[in-house]
Amino acid sequence: MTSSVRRLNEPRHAEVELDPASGRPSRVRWSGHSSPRTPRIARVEHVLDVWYVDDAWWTDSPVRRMYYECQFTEGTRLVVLYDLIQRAWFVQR
Amino acid sequence: MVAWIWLPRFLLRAAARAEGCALTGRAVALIERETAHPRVVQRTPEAAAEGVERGMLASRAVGSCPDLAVLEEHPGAVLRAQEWLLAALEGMGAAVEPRAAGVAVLETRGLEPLYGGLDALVAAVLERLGAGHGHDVRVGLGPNPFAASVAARAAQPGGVRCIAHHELRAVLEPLPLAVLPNANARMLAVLTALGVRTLGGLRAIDPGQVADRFGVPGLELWRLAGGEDARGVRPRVPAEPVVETLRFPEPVANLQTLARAVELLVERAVTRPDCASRAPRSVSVAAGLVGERSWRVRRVLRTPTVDARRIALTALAQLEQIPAPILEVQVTFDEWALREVEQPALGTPERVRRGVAGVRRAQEQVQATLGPGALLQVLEIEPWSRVPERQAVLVPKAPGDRTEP
Repeated sequence: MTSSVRRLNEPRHAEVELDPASGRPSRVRWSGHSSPRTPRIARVEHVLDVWYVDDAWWTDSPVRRMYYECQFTEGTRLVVLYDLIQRAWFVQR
Repeated sequence: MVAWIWLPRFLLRAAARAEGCALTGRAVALIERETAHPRVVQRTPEAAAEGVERGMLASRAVGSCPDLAVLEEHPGAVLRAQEWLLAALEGMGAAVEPRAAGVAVLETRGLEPLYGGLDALVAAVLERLGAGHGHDVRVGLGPNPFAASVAARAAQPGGVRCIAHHELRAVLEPLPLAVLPNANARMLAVLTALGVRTLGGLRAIDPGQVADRFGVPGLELWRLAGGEDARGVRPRVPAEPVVETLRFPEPVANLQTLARAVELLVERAVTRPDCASRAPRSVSVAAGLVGERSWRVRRVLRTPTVDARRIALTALAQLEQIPAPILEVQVTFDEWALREVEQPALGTPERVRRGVAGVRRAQEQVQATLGPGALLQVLEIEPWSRVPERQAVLVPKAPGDRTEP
Protein backbone atom coordinates (compact mmCIF):
# COMPACT_ATOMS: atom_id res chain seq x y z
CA MET A 1 0.00 0.00 0.00
CA THR A 2 1.44 3.36 -1.00
CA SER A 3 0.87 6.44 1.11
CA SER A 4 0.76 9.87 -0.38
CA VAL A 5 1.98 12.43 2.06
CA ARG A 6 1.36 16.14 2.23
CA ARG A 7 3.26 18.81 4.01
CA LEU A 8 2.16 20.43 7.20
CA ASN A 9 2.20 24.17 7.54
CA GLU A 10 2.49 25.13 3.88
CA PRO A 11 2.85 28.91 3.38
CA ARG A 12 -0.35 30.69 2.33
CA HIS A 13 -0.42 33.61 -0.06
CA ALA A 14 -0.84 37.02 1.51
CA GLU A 15 -1.03 40.64 0.50
CA VAL A 16 1.29 42.84 2.51
CA GLU A 17 1.58 46.61 2.86
CA LEU A 18 5.01 47.81 3.85
CA ASP A 19 5.94 50.56 6.24
CA PRO A 20 7.67 53.11 3.97
CA ALA A 21 10.18 54.05 6.63
CA SER A 22 11.37 50.59 7.71
CA GLY A 23 10.40 48.53 4.66
CA ARG A 24 8.79 45.99 7.00
CA PRO A 25 5.19 44.68 6.92
CA SER A 26 2.64 47.07 8.37
CA ARG A 27 -0.63 45.49 7.22
CA VAL A 28 -1.30 41.89 6.16
CA ARG A 29 -4.26 40.40 4.34
CA TRP A 30 -4.59 36.63 3.97
CA SER A 31 -7.17 33.83 3.83
CA GLY A 32 -7.32 31.26 6.61
CA HIS A 33 -7.94 27.54 6.05
CA SER A 34 -11.18 27.69 8.01
CA SER A 35 -12.72 30.58 6.06
CA PRO A 36 -10.96 30.92 2.69
CA ARG A 37 -13.60 33.28 1.29
CA THR A 38 -13.35 35.73 4.14
CA PRO A 39 -9.88 37.19 4.14
CA ARG A 40 -8.41 38.38 7.39
CA ILE A 41 -6.80 41.77 7.63
CA ALA A 42 -4.50 42.64 10.49
CA ARG A 43 -2.32 45.63 11.30
CA VAL A 44 1.19 44.91 12.51
CA GLU A 45 1.95 46.36 15.92
CA HIS A 46 5.50 45.11 16.30
CA VAL A 47 7.91 43.13 14.18
CA LEU A 48 9.37 40.87 16.87
CA ASP A 49 12.06 39.21 14.84
CA VAL A 50 13.53 39.20 11.36
CA TRP A 51 15.63 36.49 9.81
CA TYR A 52 16.80 35.38 6.41
CA VAL A 53 16.91 31.79 5.15
CA ASP A 54 18.95 30.71 2.16
CA ASP A 55 18.64 26.94 1.98
CA ALA A 56 18.61 24.01 -0.43
CA TRP A 57 20.51 26.12 -2.98
CA TRP A 58 22.12 22.91 -4.24
CA THR A 59 18.73 21.44 -5.27
CA ASP A 60 16.15 22.18 -7.96
CA SER A 61 13.94 23.89 -5.39
CA PRO A 62 16.11 26.38 -3.52
CA VAL A 63 14.68 28.48 -0.70
CA ARG A 64 15.48 32.20 -0.27
CA ARG A 65 13.16 33.93 2.13
CA MET A 66 13.00 36.89 4.46
CA TYR A 67 10.96 36.05 7.54
CA TYR A 68 9.21 38.58 9.81
CA GLU A 69 7.63 37.44 13.05
CA CYS A 70 4.78 39.91 13.54
CA GLN A 71 2.57 40.75 16.46
CA PHE A 72 -0.72 42.24 15.33
CA THR A 73 -2.77 44.86 17.07
CA GLU A 74 -5.40 42.24 17.89
CA GLY A 75 -2.78 40.38 19.93
CA THR A 76 -2.06 37.38 17.66
CA ARG A 77 1.33 36.48 16.27
CA LEU A 78 2.14 35.19 12.82
CA VAL A 79 5.19 34.73 10.66
CA VAL A 80 5.07 36.71 7.43
CA LEU A 81 7.62 35.85 4.79
CA TYR A 82 8.78 37.28 1.50
CA ASP A 83 9.88 34.65 -0.99
CA LEU A 84 12.77 36.17 -2.93
CA ILE A 85 12.50 33.58 -5.70
CA GLN A 86 8.74 33.76 -6.33
CA ARG A 87 8.76 37.46 -5.37
CA ALA A 88 5.60 36.98 -3.34
CA TRP A 89 4.40 37.34 0.25
CA PHE A 90 3.12 34.48 2.40
CA VAL A 91 2.02 33.83 5.96
CA GLN A 92 2.95 30.80 7.96
CA ARG A 93 2.25 29.60 11.49
CA MET B 1 11.51 -34.63 -14.96
CA VAL B 2 12.87 -31.47 -13.41
CA ALA B 3 12.91 -28.28 -15.47
CA TRP B 4 15.65 -25.71 -14.84
CA ILE B 5 14.53 -22.42 -16.33
CA TRP B 6 17.38 -20.02 -16.81
CA LEU B 7 17.39 -16.43 -17.99
CA PRO B 8 21.07 -15.64 -18.70
CA ARG B 9 22.46 -12.22 -17.80
CA PHE B 10 19.43 -11.67 -15.61
CA LEU B 11 21.02 -8.97 -13.43
CA LEU B 12 22.12 -7.03 -16.50
CA ARG B 13 18.73 -7.35 -18.16
CA ALA B 14 16.89 -6.21 -15.04
CA ALA B 15 19.15 -3.18 -14.62
CA ALA B 16 18.86 -2.32 -18.33
CA ARG B 17 15.09 -2.54 -18.18
CA ALA B 18 15.02 -0.24 -15.16
CA GLU B 19 17.32 2.27 -16.85
CA GLY B 20 15.60 2.03 -20.25
CA CYS B 21 18.83 0.86 -21.86
CA ALA B 22 18.71 -1.38 -24.95
CA LEU B 23 21.02 -4.40 -24.88
CA THR B 24 20.61 -5.85 -28.35
CA GLY B 25 23.68 -5.46 -30.52
CA ARG B 26 25.49 -3.25 -27.97
CA ALA B 27 28.47 -3.68 -25.72
CA VAL B 28 26.99 -3.19 -22.24
CA ALA B 29 28.42 -4.22 -18.89
CA LEU B 30 26.89 -4.38 -15.44
CA ILE B 31 29.26 -3.30 -12.68
CA GLU B 32 29.20 -3.46 -8.90
CA ARG B 33 27.71 -0.47 -7.17
CA GLU B 34 28.98 1.62 -4.31
CA THR B 35 32.53 0.29 -4.31
CA ALA B 36 35.67 2.27 -4.89
CA HIS B 37 36.86 -0.09 -7.61
CA PRO B 38 33.79 -1.67 -9.20
CA ARG B 39 34.18 -4.81 -11.22
CA VAL B 40 32.20 -6.21 -14.12
CA VAL B 41 29.42 -8.54 -12.95
CA GLN B 42 27.79 -9.40 -16.28
CA ARG B 43 28.18 -8.24 -19.87
CA THR B 44 26.57 -8.68 -23.27
CA PRO B 45 28.17 -10.99 -25.88
CA GLU B 46 29.20 -7.87 -27.82
CA ALA B 47 31.13 -6.65 -24.77
CA ALA B 48 32.65 -10.10 -24.29
CA ALA B 49 33.79 -10.03 -27.93
CA GLU B 50 35.64 -6.77 -27.18
CA GLY B 51 37.53 -8.43 -24.33
CA VAL B 52 35.33 -7.42 -21.40
CA GLU B 53 35.47 -10.22 -18.85
CA ARG B 54 33.54 -10.86 -15.67
CA GLY B 55 35.48 -9.75 -12.61
CA MET B 56 37.45 -7.22 -14.64
CA LEU B 57 37.85 -3.73 -13.16
CA ALA B 58 35.31 -1.38 -14.73
CA SER B 59 38.05 1.11 -15.60
CA ARG B 60 39.96 -1.60 -17.44
CA ALA B 61 36.79 -2.78 -19.19
CA VAL B 62 36.14 0.73 -20.52
CA GLY B 63 39.77 0.91 -21.57
CA SER B 64 39.53 -2.26 -23.61
CA CYS B 65 36.14 -1.34 -25.10
CA PRO B 66 35.74 2.46 -25.46
CA ASP B 67 32.11 2.14 -26.67
CA LEU B 68 31.14 0.14 -23.61
CA ALA B 69 27.92 1.29 -21.92
CA VAL B 70 28.12 0.74 -18.18
CA LEU B 71 25.18 0.07 -15.86
CA GLU B 72 25.27 -0.17 -12.08
CA GLU B 73 23.68 -3.07 -10.23
CA HIS B 74 20.01 -2.43 -9.49
CA PRO B 75 18.85 -4.75 -6.70
CA GLY B 76 15.32 -3.38 -6.67
CA ALA B 77 14.88 -4.12 -10.36
CA VAL B 78 16.31 -7.62 -9.91
CA LEU B 79 13.83 -8.31 -7.16
CA ARG B 80 10.93 -7.17 -9.30
CA ALA B 81 12.15 -9.18 -12.29
CA GLN B 82 12.62 -12.30 -10.16
CA GLU B 83 9.13 -11.96 -8.76
CA TRP B 84 7.81 -11.55 -12.30
CA LEU B 85 9.59 -14.76 -13.36
CA LEU B 86 8.25 -16.78 -10.44
CA ALA B 87 4.75 -15.34 -10.70
CA ALA B 88 4.67 -16.07 -14.46
CA LEU B 89 5.48 -19.74 -13.83
CA GLU B 90 3.18 -20.00 -10.83
CA GLY B 91 0.48 -18.52 -13.04
CA MET B 92 0.86 -21.63 -15.22
CA GLY B 93 0.08 -23.78 -12.21
CA ALA B 94 3.67 -24.71 -11.39
CA ALA B 95 5.14 -25.04 -7.92
CA VAL B 96 8.40 -23.16 -8.38
CA GLU B 97 11.63 -23.04 -6.44
CA PRO B 98 13.77 -19.92 -6.90
CA ARG B 99 17.40 -21.08 -6.93
CA ALA B 100 19.16 -17.86 -7.92
CA ALA B 101 18.47 -14.61 -9.72
CA GLY B 102 17.05 -15.59 -13.09
CA VAL B 103 16.73 -19.28 -12.22
CA ALA B 104 13.51 -21.12 -11.42
CA VAL B 105 13.17 -24.86 -10.92
CA LEU B 106 10.01 -26.91 -11.15
CA GLU B 107 8.86 -30.50 -11.28
CA THR B 108 7.13 -31.17 -14.61
CA ARG B 109 5.28 -34.37 -13.76
CA GLY B 110 2.14 -32.75 -12.39
CA LEU B 111 1.90 -30.20 -15.20
CA GLU B 112 2.45 -32.47 -18.21
CA PRO B 113 -1.18 -33.76 -18.33
CA LEU B 114 -2.43 -30.17 -18.15
CA TYR B 115 -0.44 -29.08 -21.18
CA GLY B 116 -0.61 -32.29 -23.21
CA GLY B 117 2.89 -33.58 -22.61
CA LEU B 118 6.39 -32.43 -21.78
CA ASP B 119 7.12 -30.79 -25.14
CA ALA B 120 3.95 -28.73 -25.03
CA LEU B 121 4.70 -27.72 -21.44
CA VAL B 122 8.20 -26.52 -22.32
CA ALA B 123 6.85 -24.64 -25.34
CA ALA B 124 4.29 -22.96 -23.09
CA VAL B 125 7.01 -21.98 -20.59
CA LEU B 126 9.17 -20.50 -23.35
CA GLU B 127 6.20 -18.64 -24.78
CA ARG B 128 5.20 -17.35 -21.36
CA LEU B 129 8.67 -15.99 -20.68
CA GLY B 130 8.90 -14.26 -24.04
CA ALA B 131 11.34 -16.56 -25.83
CA GLY B 132 9.43 -15.91 -29.07
CA HIS B 133 10.05 -12.20 -28.74
CA GLY B 134 13.80 -12.34 -28.65
CA HIS B 135 14.23 -12.86 -24.90
CA ASP B 136 16.98 -15.28 -23.98
CA VAL B 137 15.29 -18.08 -22.06
CA ARG B 138 16.80 -21.53 -21.76
CA VAL B 139 15.23 -24.67 -20.34
CA GLY B 140 17.16 -27.68 -19.11
CA LEU B 141 15.43 -30.96 -18.40
CA GLY B 142 16.89 -33.72 -16.30
CA PRO B 143 16.04 -36.38 -13.76
CA ASN B 144 17.08 -34.06 -10.91
CA PRO B 145 17.84 -30.35 -10.42
CA PHE B 146 21.61 -30.66 -10.91
CA ALA B 147 21.23 -32.59 -14.15
CA ALA B 148 18.64 -30.07 -15.32
CA SER B 149 21.01 -27.19 -14.51
CA VAL B 150 23.74 -28.78 -16.60
CA ALA B 151 21.25 -29.25 -19.43
CA ALA B 152 20.15 -25.62 -19.24
CA ARG B 153 23.76 -24.47 -19.59
CA ALA B 154 24.05 -26.54 -22.75
CA ALA B 155 20.77 -25.24 -24.23
CA GLN B 156 20.69 -22.72 -27.05
CA PRO B 157 19.01 -19.31 -26.52
CA GLY B 158 15.27 -19.85 -26.57
CA GLY B 159 15.83 -23.58 -26.65
CA VAL B 160 15.63 -26.68 -24.52
CA ARG B 161 18.13 -29.43 -23.77
CA CYS B 162 17.19 -32.68 -22.10
CA ILE B 163 19.54 -35.06 -20.34
CA ALA B 164 17.94 -38.47 -19.89
CA HIS B 165 18.80 -40.63 -16.91
CA HIS B 166 20.73 -43.20 -18.97
CA GLU B 167 23.04 -40.56 -20.53
CA LEU B 168 23.60 -38.59 -17.35
CA ARG B 169 26.91 -40.21 -16.36
CA ALA B 170 28.39 -39.79 -19.85
CA VAL B 171 27.37 -36.13 -20.05
CA LEU B 172 28.67 -35.23 -16.59
CA GLU B 173 32.05 -37.02 -16.70
CA PRO B 174 33.97 -34.54 -18.90
CA LEU B 175 32.54 -31.41 -17.26
CA PRO B 176 34.84 -29.21 -15.15
CA LEU B 177 34.48 -29.13 -11.37
CA ALA B 178 33.33 -25.51 -11.57
CA VAL B 179 29.83 -26.62 -12.60
CA LEU B 180 29.27 -28.06 -9.14
CA PRO B 181 27.07 -25.82 -7.01
CA ASN B 182 28.36 -24.90 -3.55
CA ALA B 183 31.92 -26.04 -4.34
CA ASN B 184 34.16 -23.71 -2.39
CA ALA B 185 37.35 -22.38 -3.91
CA ARG B 186 39.59 -24.11 -1.37
CA MET B 187 38.11 -27.51 -2.10
CA LEU B 188 38.45 -26.95 -5.83
CA ALA B 189 42.07 -25.84 -5.38
CA VAL B 190 42.92 -29.02 -3.44
CA LEU B 191 41.21 -31.23 -6.01
CA THR B 192 42.97 -29.45 -8.86
CA ALA B 193 46.30 -29.84 -7.08
CA LEU B 194 45.56 -33.54 -6.81
CA GLY B 195 45.02 -33.67 -10.58
CA VAL B 196 41.24 -33.93 -10.40
CA ARG B 197 39.74 -31.54 -12.92
CA THR B 198 36.50 -33.11 -14.09
CA LEU B 199 33.40 -34.58 -12.52
CA GLY B 200 34.48 -37.97 -13.85
CA GLY B 201 37.81 -37.59 -12.06
CA LEU B 202 36.10 -36.74 -8.79
CA ARG B 203 33.68 -39.61 -9.16
CA ALA B 204 36.59 -42.00 -9.69
CA ILE B 205 37.88 -41.32 -6.16
CA ASP B 206 36.70 -43.64 -3.43
CA PRO B 207 33.84 -41.89 -1.55
CA GLY B 208 35.35 -42.86 1.78
CA GLN B 209 38.54 -40.99 0.90
CA VAL B 210 36.53 -37.96 -0.24
CA ALA B 211 34.64 -37.97 3.05
CA ASP B 212 37.91 -38.29 5.02
CA ARG B 213 39.44 -35.32 3.23
CA PHE B 214 36.48 -32.97 2.76
CA GLY B 215 33.78 -34.21 5.11
CA VAL B 216 30.06 -34.14 4.30
CA PRO B 217 30.30 -31.24 1.80
CA GLY B 218 32.87 -33.21 -0.20
CA LEU B 219 30.68 -36.29 -0.17
CA GLU B 220 27.74 -34.26 -1.44
CA LEU B 221 29.84 -33.00 -4.34
CA TRP B 222 30.97 -36.58 -5.07
CA ARG B 223 27.32 -37.63 -5.30
CA LEU B 224 26.45 -34.68 -7.55
CA ALA B 225 29.40 -35.56 -9.81
CA GLY B 226 27.69 -38.91 -10.39
CA GLY B 227 24.35 -37.24 -11.12
CA GLU B 228 22.85 -38.04 -7.73
CA ASP B 229 20.96 -35.00 -6.45
CA ALA B 230 18.82 -36.03 -3.51
CA ARG B 231 17.73 -32.51 -2.67
CA GLY B 232 14.91 -32.39 -5.18
CA VAL B 233 12.71 -29.39 -5.87
CA ARG B 234 11.54 -27.39 -2.85
CA PRO B 235 8.96 -24.98 -4.20
CA ARG B 236 8.26 -21.78 -2.41
CA VAL B 237 4.89 -21.35 -0.80
CA PRO B 238 3.35 -18.45 -2.69
CA ALA B 239 2.34 -15.83 -0.19
CA GLU B 240 1.34 -12.32 -0.93
CA PRO B 241 4.07 -10.09 0.39
CA VAL B 242 3.06 -7.22 2.61
CA VAL B 243 4.47 -4.02 1.14
CA GLU B 244 4.23 -0.57 2.64
CA THR B 245 5.65 2.40 0.76
CA LEU B 246 6.19 6.02 1.63
CA ARG B 247 7.08 8.66 -0.95
CA PHE B 248 8.73 11.79 0.34
CA PRO B 249 7.79 15.13 -1.13
CA GLU B 250 11.47 15.81 -1.71
CA PRO B 251 14.72 13.84 -1.31
CA VAL B 252 15.57 12.99 2.28
CA ALA B 253 19.20 12.67 3.25
CA ASN B 254 19.19 12.28 6.99
CA LEU B 255 19.15 9.04 8.86
CA GLN B 256 16.70 10.04 11.59
CA THR B 257 14.00 10.86 9.08
CA LEU B 258 14.52 7.62 7.27
CA ALA B 259 14.53 5.66 10.52
CA ARG B 260 11.25 7.23 11.58
CA ALA B 261 9.73 6.49 8.18
CA VAL B 262 10.82 2.84 8.39
CA GLU B 263 9.36 2.58 11.90
CA LEU B 264 6.09 4.02 10.65
CA LEU B 265 5.96 1.60 7.72
CA VAL B 266 6.68 -1.36 9.98
CA GLU B 267 3.92 -0.24 12.33
CA ARG B 268 1.55 -0.07 9.38
CA ALA B 269 2.67 -3.41 7.93
CA VAL B 270 2.10 -5.39 11.13
CA THR B 271 -1.48 -4.16 11.28
CA ARG B 272 -2.33 -5.62 7.88
CA PRO B 273 -4.71 -8.62 7.94
CA ASP B 274 -1.91 -10.84 6.57
CA CYS B 275 -0.19 -10.59 9.94
CA ALA B 276 -3.21 -11.85 11.87
CA SER B 277 -2.35 -15.51 11.51
CA ARG B 278 1.30 -15.41 10.54
CA ALA B 279 4.42 -13.50 11.43
CA PRO B 280 7.21 -12.28 9.15
CA ARG B 281 10.51 -14.14 9.27
CA SER B 282 12.40 -11.43 7.49
CA VAL B 283 12.04 -7.78 6.67
CA SER B 284 13.33 -5.98 3.59
CA VAL B 285 13.90 -2.27 3.34
CA ALA B 286 14.18 -0.85 -0.16
CA ALA B 287 14.87 2.74 -1.04
CA GLY B 288 14.44 4.60 -4.31
CA LEU B 289 17.31 7.06 -4.53
CA VAL B 290 17.85 10.20 -6.52
CA GLY B 291 19.29 9.55 -9.95
CA GLU B 292 17.03 6.53 -10.65
CA ARG B 293 19.12 4.38 -8.34
CA SER B 294 17.90 1.96 -5.73
CA TRP B 295 19.11 0.32 -2.56
CA ARG B 296 17.83 -2.70 -0.69
CA VAL B 297 18.66 -4.73 2.37
CA ARG B 298 17.02 -7.86 3.70
CA ARG B 299 17.33 -8.81 7.35
CA VAL B 300 16.25 -12.09 8.91
CA LEU B 301 14.51 -11.79 12.25
CA ARG B 302 15.87 -13.79 15.16
CA THR B 303 12.37 -15.15 15.72
CA PRO B 304 9.26 -14.53 13.63
CA THR B 305 7.29 -11.77 15.29
CA VAL B 306 4.67 -9.10 14.73
CA ASP B 307 6.21 -6.86 17.38
CA ALA B 308 6.71 -3.65 15.41
CA ARG B 309 9.52 -2.41 17.67
CA ARG B 310 11.57 -5.58 17.31
CA ILE B 311 11.07 -5.68 13.56
CA ALA B 312 11.97 -2.00 13.26
CA LEU B 313 15.14 -2.50 15.31
CA THR B 314 16.21 -5.23 12.92
CA ALA B 315 15.22 -3.23 9.85
CA LEU B 316 17.16 -0.15 10.96
CA ALA B 317 20.47 -1.93 11.33
CA GLN B 318 22.05 -1.06 7.98
CA LEU B 319 20.32 2.14 6.98
CA GLU B 320 23.47 4.19 7.41
CA GLN B 321 24.84 2.46 4.30
CA ILE B 322 22.33 4.12 2.00
CA PRO B 323 24.51 6.04 -0.42
CA ALA B 324 22.28 8.88 -1.66
CA PRO B 325 19.23 10.97 -0.75
CA ILE B 326 16.01 9.00 -0.71
CA LEU B 327 12.83 9.64 -2.66
CA GLU B 328 10.87 6.61 -1.58
CA VAL B 329 11.20 3.97 1.11
CA GLN B 330 9.52 0.58 1.12
CA VAL B 331 9.21 -2.09 3.79
CA THR B 332 8.36 -5.63 2.69
CA PHE B 333 7.51 -8.79 4.59
CA ASP B 334 7.78 -11.69 2.15
CA GLU B 335 8.77 -14.68 4.24
CA TRP B 336 6.40 -15.99 6.81
CA ALA B 337 5.99 -18.35 9.72
CA LEU B 338 2.84 -19.33 11.52
CA ARG B 339 2.17 -16.88 14.26
CA GLU B 340 2.44 -18.24 17.75
CA VAL B 341 0.23 -17.13 20.56
CA GLU B 342 1.94 -14.24 22.27
CA GLN B 343 1.80 -13.63 25.96
CA PRO B 344 0.77 -10.05 26.68
CA ALA B 345 3.08 -7.89 28.72
CA LEU B 346 2.47 -7.85 32.47
CA GLY B 347 1.81 -4.71 34.40
CA THR B 348 -0.02 -2.47 31.93
CA PRO B 349 -2.62 -0.61 33.97
CA GLU B 350 -6.12 -1.69 33.10
CA ARG B 351 -7.42 1.85 32.73
CA VAL B 352 -4.68 2.71 30.24
CA ARG B 353 -5.54 -0.38 28.23
CA ARG B 354 -9.22 0.51 28.28
CA GLY B 355 -8.49 4.08 27.22
CA VAL B 356 -6.28 3.04 24.34
CA ALA B 357 -8.84 0.43 23.24
CA GLY B 358 -11.55 3.10 23.26
CA VAL B 359 -9.55 5.45 21.08
CA ARG B 360 -8.80 2.61 18.69
CA ARG B 361 -12.47 1.76 18.39
CA ALA B 362 -13.24 5.40 17.69
CA GLN B 363 -10.50 5.45 15.07
CA GLU B 364 -11.94 2.35 13.37
CA GLN B 365 -15.42 3.85 13.36
CA VAL B 366 -14.20 7.11 11.83
CA GLN B 367 -12.33 5.25 9.13
CA ALA B 368 -15.26 2.92 8.45
CA THR B 369 -17.56 5.93 8.04
CA LEU B 370 -15.37 8.44 6.25
CA GLY B 371 -12.87 6.20 4.47
CA PRO B 372 -9.26 5.22 5.09
CA GLY B 373 -7.93 8.70 4.33
CA ALA B 374 -10.00 10.32 7.06
CA LEU B 375 -7.39 9.99 9.77
CA LEU B 376 -3.96 11.42 9.34
CA GLN B 377 -0.81 11.03 11.35
CA VAL B 378 1.96 13.58 11.74
CA LEU B 379 5.38 12.31 10.70
CA GLU B 380 8.33 14.51 11.52
CA ILE B 381 10.78 14.31 8.66
CA GLU B 382 13.16 17.20 9.26
CA PRO B 383 12.25 18.69 12.64
CA TRP B 384 15.44 20.77 12.62
CA SER B 385 14.77 22.34 9.21
CA ARG B 386 14.84 26.13 9.00
CA VAL B 387 12.00 25.91 6.47
CA PRO B 388 8.86 25.23 8.55
CA GLU B 389 6.89 23.29 5.93
CA ARG B 390 9.73 20.81 5.61
CA GLN B 391 9.61 19.83 9.27
CA ALA B 392 6.63 17.46 9.19
CA VAL B 393 4.20 15.79 6.82
CA LEU B 394 0.75 14.26 7.18
CA VAL B 395 0.43 10.57 6.39
CA PRO B 396 -2.85 8.64 6.21
CA LYS B 397 -3.20 6.34 9.18
CA ALA B 398 -3.68 2.75 8.03
CA PRO B 399 -7.06 1.13 8.66
CA GLY B 400 -6.68 -1.29 11.54
CA ASP B 401 -3.47 0.38 12.70
CA ARG B 402 -3.15 -0.79 16.29
CA THR B 403 -0.23 1.36 17.23
CA GLU B 404 -0.57 4.03 19.88
CA PRO B 405 -3.36 6.34 18.79
